[in-house]
Amino acid sequence: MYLKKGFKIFSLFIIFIFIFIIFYLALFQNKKDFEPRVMIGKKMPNLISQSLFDNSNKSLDQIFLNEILVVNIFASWCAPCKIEHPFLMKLKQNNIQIIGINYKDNNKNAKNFLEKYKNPYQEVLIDSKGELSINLGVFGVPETFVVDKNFKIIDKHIGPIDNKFVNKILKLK
Amino acid sequence: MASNIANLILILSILFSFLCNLFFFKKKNNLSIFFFNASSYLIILSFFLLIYFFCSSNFNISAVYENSHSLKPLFYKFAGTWGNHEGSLLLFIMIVGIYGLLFSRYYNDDSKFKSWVIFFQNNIFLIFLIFLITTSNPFDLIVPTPIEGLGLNPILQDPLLVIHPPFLYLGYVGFSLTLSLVLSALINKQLNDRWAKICWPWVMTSWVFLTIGISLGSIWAYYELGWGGYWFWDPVENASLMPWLVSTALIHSLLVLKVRNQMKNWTSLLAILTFSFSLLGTFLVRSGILNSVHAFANDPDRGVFILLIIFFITSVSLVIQILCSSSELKNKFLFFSKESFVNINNLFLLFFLFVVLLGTIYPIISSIFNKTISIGPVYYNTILAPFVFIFLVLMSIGPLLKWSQSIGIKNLNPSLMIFFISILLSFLIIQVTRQNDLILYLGILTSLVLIFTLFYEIFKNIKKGSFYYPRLCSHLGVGVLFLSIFFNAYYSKTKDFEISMGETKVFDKLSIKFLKQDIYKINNYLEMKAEFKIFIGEKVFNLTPSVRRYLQPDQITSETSIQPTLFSNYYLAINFPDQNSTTLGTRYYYNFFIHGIWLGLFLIIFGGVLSVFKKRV
Repeated sequence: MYLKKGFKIFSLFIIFIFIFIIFYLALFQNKKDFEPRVMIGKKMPNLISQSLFDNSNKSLDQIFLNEILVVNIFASWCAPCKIEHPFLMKLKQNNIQIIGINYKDNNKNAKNFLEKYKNPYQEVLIDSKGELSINLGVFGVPETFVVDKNFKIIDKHIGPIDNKFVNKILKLK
Repeated sequence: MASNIANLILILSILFSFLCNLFFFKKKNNLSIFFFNASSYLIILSFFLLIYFFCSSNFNISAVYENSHSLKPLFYKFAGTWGNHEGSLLLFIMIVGIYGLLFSRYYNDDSKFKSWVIFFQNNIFLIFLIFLITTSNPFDLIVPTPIEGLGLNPILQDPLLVIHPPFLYLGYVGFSLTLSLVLSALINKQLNDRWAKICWPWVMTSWVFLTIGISLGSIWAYYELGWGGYWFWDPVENASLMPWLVSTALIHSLLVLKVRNQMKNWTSLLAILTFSFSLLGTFLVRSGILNSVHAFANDPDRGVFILLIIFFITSVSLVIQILCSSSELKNKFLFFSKESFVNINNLFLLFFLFVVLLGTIYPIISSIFNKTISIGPVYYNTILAPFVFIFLVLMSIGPLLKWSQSIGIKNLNPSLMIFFISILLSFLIIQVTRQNDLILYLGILTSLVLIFTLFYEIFKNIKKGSFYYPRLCSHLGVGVLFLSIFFNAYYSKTKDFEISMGETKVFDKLSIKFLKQDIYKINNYLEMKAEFKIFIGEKVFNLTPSVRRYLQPDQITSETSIQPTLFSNYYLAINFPDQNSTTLGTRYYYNFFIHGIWLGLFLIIFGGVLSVFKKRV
């Protein structure tokens, strides 16, 4: 009798472990598929907005000089933006041009944020209503776009960027 | 400040929940129940706090910031509370607590048994509470406060969709109490007819809520999605159908336990499976493992957590079931008895469950091997149809039989009569409508057999003066539902076409004229309204479907336009127009007997409601 029950429990666990592994694999399998790659390969819209630093109107093509440009959407209230900040600084040290889009933020808070953590951006465009970001199909903050000199979007990253992404950009240079 | 208070409440609630366990082990039953109640009340309080934060657009709170927007109408701010992962999880926990509270309020017979039930309920509560606080705390703080929220998901801004998830949850989560009841009964060796009587109203309540939840989802899909159908075999629809199938099997085997004190092991197994499938449903919807309209949360780490919880709860329950199950003698009953037909009913329902389960998780398994496949209605319809016919016939015969008695030949006469009439009538229908199809014929035949048998039973009952309405009502609902499904599937018409302004499209007796289109800008969306004139034989009427383009986030929703008749619908939906084209993509559906489906669902639910309140003689 007890042998039979023991066998039942044993086979139960074998089956469960098997099912668990299947679901587990599937969960992480789908993660890759979920990053929307819609904007990649398309032309970067020429974003025009007020600059955070001198209140004049600036457009992307005025600023863009080098081989590649990184456009980073950030906000002072966004916690993951603080996580990715050191990586942005690393890009700056390697002479990568970075333009910030300040998403739905208060100008004073944004300036404080850049003072406190140092400024990786060559220019910051204000996007207080989120209109610029909508044109880019932004999912949430932070989000980062890589643009080549023909204004083509060659890569994008949703969420805080990491070392892997930084190295990818540095190789492009 | 606000966030701190809410977090404090959550932590206190966890503490009380631990105290409940502690006092339970110290055999201080009353104290243990007291702390469970206190903990539940705190969660209810925190849920109301979250509602308040949503309504007052307090973007300090992460859940509010991510899912709300100051421009939202107040009603949808309120509903946004449970329209996201964190809030819905809190709702889930609150309902676990509420079921526990109600049980401890209304059950006062056996204090030892009661404290066991509360103990199990408390641990389900606690597991999810820990999950909430560690991975998805709705009250996380954002500093500095954002000036505007992110969420304005327009497709979810529909009153039906606002009440659909809470009903589903009331159903899913209600089965947690069933699980607690069955585990306590197993441990205390009280799994018997008395227990089944205690269990009955709770199981029925959850079942009714689940059925309402599924029906609302189906009605929403029909009116809002604009594809003319009411059920799409979408994986998430299946996720709610699976617990429904198991719980329906559970209800029937519980009945045998209640009346005959048999099928104990089987009933306890079904009770455990019901809650496991409810959790699986939650997992499929919430983990983002499926690509579907419903998959909101795409965070695999949370998925792993839910997965662990499901396997933990299920395996602990099953181990208890295996260790404590009584060595019940083989149930002996005659073939032509009610018991054996309930058995057959259970096997059929579990077979349906297996088919749906396979269809739902097969794409998941194949995705591991990088193959994307999707399983469509053809699979389900082909496999299920033949078994549905047999199921409906058995459903007509089963309830006529007596408990553990073989039926006498004499009693079979009315059934044969009904069978004969149904054969003639369905043959007539097929001939008159010139739809010669075997599946349709068998569908109509078997549904009619069920419906007529029930009418006969109702007639007999009224003559005898004895009433047992719940079963008759629900079963009649099933008959009407299937009859309508078959009618709808075979007699509906669809036309899909491109039309330009002023043009008239003619199909046989139907012609559709595109009169005009207007574009409005309303609050946060653009609305394009098109007006059509429809001529069907002598009938003339106007339909005005529209599409909306929401700007933030950029999303298109469709508003269908419907001209109802007594049982059927003329249904028109349009696509969002291309900027460069002069034509408009239009879909016309004639949905035959669609109201019959709603009526069937209503009868099923109404029967369930009756059985909650009516004590069986």
